[in-house]
Amino acid sequence: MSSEGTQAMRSTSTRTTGANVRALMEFLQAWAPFSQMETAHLAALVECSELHYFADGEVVLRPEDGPARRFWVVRQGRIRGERSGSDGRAETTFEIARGECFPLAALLGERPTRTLHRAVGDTFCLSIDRADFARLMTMSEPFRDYCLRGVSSLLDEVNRGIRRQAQQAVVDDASLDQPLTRYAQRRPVTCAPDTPLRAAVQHMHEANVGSIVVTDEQHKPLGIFTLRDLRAQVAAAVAMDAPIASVMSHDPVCLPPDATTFDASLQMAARHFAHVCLVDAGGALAGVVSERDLFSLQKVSLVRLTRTLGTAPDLATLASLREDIRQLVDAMLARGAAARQVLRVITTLNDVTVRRIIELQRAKQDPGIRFAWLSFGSEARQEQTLHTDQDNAILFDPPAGMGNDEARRRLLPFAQAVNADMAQCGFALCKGNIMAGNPELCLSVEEWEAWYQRFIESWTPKNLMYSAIFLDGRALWGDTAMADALFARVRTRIRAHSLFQRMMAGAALESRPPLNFFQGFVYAKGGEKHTIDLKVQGLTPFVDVARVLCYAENLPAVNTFERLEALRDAGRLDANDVNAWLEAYGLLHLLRMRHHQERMASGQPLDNRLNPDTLNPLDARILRESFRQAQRLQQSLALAYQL
Amino acid sequence: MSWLTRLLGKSHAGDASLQQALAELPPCPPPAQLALADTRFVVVDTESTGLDVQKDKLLSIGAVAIEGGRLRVGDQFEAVLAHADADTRPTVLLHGIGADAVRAGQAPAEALLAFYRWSGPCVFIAFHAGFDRALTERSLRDVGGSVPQRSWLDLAVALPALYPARRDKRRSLDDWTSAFGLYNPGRHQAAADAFVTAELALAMLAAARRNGLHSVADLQRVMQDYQRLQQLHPR
Repeated sequence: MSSEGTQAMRSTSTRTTGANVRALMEFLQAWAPFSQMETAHLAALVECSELHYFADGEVVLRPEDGPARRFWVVRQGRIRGERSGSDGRAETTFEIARGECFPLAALLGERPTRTLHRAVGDTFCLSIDRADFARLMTMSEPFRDYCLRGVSSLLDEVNRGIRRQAQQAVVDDASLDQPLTRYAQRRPVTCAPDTPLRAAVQHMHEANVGSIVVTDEQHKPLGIFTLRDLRAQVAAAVAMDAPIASVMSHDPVCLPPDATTFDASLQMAARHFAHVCLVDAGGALAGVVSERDLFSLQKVSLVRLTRTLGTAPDLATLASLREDIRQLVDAMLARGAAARQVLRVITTLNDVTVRRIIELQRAKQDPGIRFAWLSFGSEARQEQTLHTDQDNAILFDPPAGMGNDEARRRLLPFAQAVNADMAQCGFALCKGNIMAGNPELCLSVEEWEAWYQRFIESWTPKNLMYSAIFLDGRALWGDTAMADALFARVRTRIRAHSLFQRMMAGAALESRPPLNFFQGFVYAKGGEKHTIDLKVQGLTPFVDVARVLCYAENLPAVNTFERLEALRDAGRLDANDVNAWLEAYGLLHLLRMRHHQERMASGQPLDNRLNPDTLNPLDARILRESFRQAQRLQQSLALAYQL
Repeated sequence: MSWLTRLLGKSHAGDASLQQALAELPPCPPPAQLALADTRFVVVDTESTGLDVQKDKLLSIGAVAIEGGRLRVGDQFEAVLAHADADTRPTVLLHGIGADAVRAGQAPAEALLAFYRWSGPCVFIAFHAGFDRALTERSLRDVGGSVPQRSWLDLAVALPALYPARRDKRRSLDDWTSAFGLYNPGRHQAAADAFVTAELALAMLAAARRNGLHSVADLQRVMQDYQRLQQLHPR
């Protein structure tokens, strides 16, 4: 019988069965985005849908099938995404459960799926064809939103939830993610390095601008000179016929044209520059953005805040600005900023605060010794939340003729004062006394070398516990090159010490993501009942595994996101896997920050213990998927070290 | 009313036009010519006033179509049949079709003609198909129609024949529904039962294709073999 025949029959059929369509609609309504769709649109979806059955292990979709032609929703059973791993074995990359849809990215990109989709157990899927999918996208806004946001729509839904909860006190209407080129002066005023100061200022005056970029013959920026610099030169009575190169600020901040206002404001905040140069791929100047360009647009209060912090006259002012930081973070969460951005902003502001504390204390008592202020753990990784313990130390280089003990004697009172000042500004004193004011952690270069050698050669379980602190380090203030060299030598030492790596790997597998065999949550021991520990059980596995793998490859990155990316770029980890892990890690951070916000709002002490039953089904699903990604990351480490 | 007309059913003026309409339905080819991959299957469930296929009244028909191995959600049929004298009391608690609903339903001749028209040339599938078939065909004869030639497949036979591993202790529709992780929110409503039966039929047809069966006749042969085996070694 021909299909045309049945088609003709169907056109004379009575209308469709209401009850079954309604039952399918009810099923869909339990899940996003169907829960937000209008009833009529949902009915249209169901009525043009087909139900397909797949036996256990049957292939549903594969890259060889060509561009994706249908939109699928799992009604019963599960779909497993498979890619062949490095050893040729099929590796599960994701699982699609009841109520979830696929393959959005392939469907929207009009391309084949990149992953083989296979049914797990008896699987029934609802499906509509591409044309109906497109029609539905035009009809239904929630559906369109969900699909267009594609694979990261889950993240977005979380963001929306976070936005709802965040306080709206200081919300800017625009996002930080604007392209910088939009605010740049496209034809910046420039001059050659031998231009006399007078002529350069004349240029600026005629063009009515606040800055001039000094460039070489290839139009590459060599330096920048601003009205503020001019003020300083006039005050210092510099001759107006001096060449501009002698008075300009060298090495201006340069960003590529695709940088965002967020990147620019972070750079301005971190490096105390009021201007940022935009350069093309060849390094030639393409534009200039000033702090005022951003500030006048009311885009970023981050810049204002860092400036205020960086110039705060005393400790009381610094301490009072902590509340502004909290509000800025609230606003960022409210705008739906990504976890990574929020963490970087917190770290930047904390850095600026600590640097100012050190400068203020130095003005009171200068120990007169070359040193670097080291930070460890989450601050070193740039993954601090607002509520954080101090983990810091001092690396010093005594002047010729002075012994280490004498240098230490001079530095300790200063360091202890800084520790106390930091405590006043909201950085809780470290319970384990991992602080610069501790004589055991105020050490010279050779003393630190010996310290790290002991740490690595004679590891103990306690040592390994501290690797999360001492193996994530960076210099916050002072002689950063001295610190970088120390950390580079530590990396080389660990790179050569495969047994220590193995011990680290073993320790990295100890924090188990709280999922049981059936993908149910396993509650954390101790503490509040029926809760899981977002930090220890969720974030720590990512942090620990990324650390071990980076040390094994001698990669200098410290931030966990950057470590994962470095491992990807070095070809050590699969790019698709890394993207999934970056997203999962960010989601866990967002859930943790939101949890902190809630605790703070209700005046409860902060913790990382979350009761998954209090999450809406979507968040619970995201949490479960994030934990599953943590398990996968651990599995890849276990495989690498045969653990 | 003579014994003859009573035997032929409640004859009325619509007879001739019903007969003509039924005669105009396109015929269905024999099972050996029907490839499983592109045959239209219509999965049927009926509700009645009782279990006696000779006497009890057909109250409702629910049906879902499967084509090309997929169930088209928009391609479904449902009808409640009107009977002036139907006694629904013994079964109303089961399917919820009471006297009011029955009075409000379609005339049986009209509903049955619509059902066959919608079904088109197809192979019917039902769970315990013998009952649904007998009831449907007798109801059509009752109103003076002659029954179009169609094959019926019994899912209660086809499922255990094709899923030997799941055969044990699986007898009822509910057993098979839960064996496939399915859930039927509207048990004993013809449309909902037809839908869940159709979901099982999807799985059954997939298994038939996996087993290398090509035509409807191939499938019928496997079902007959299974039944013969059952008669030799009843569990």
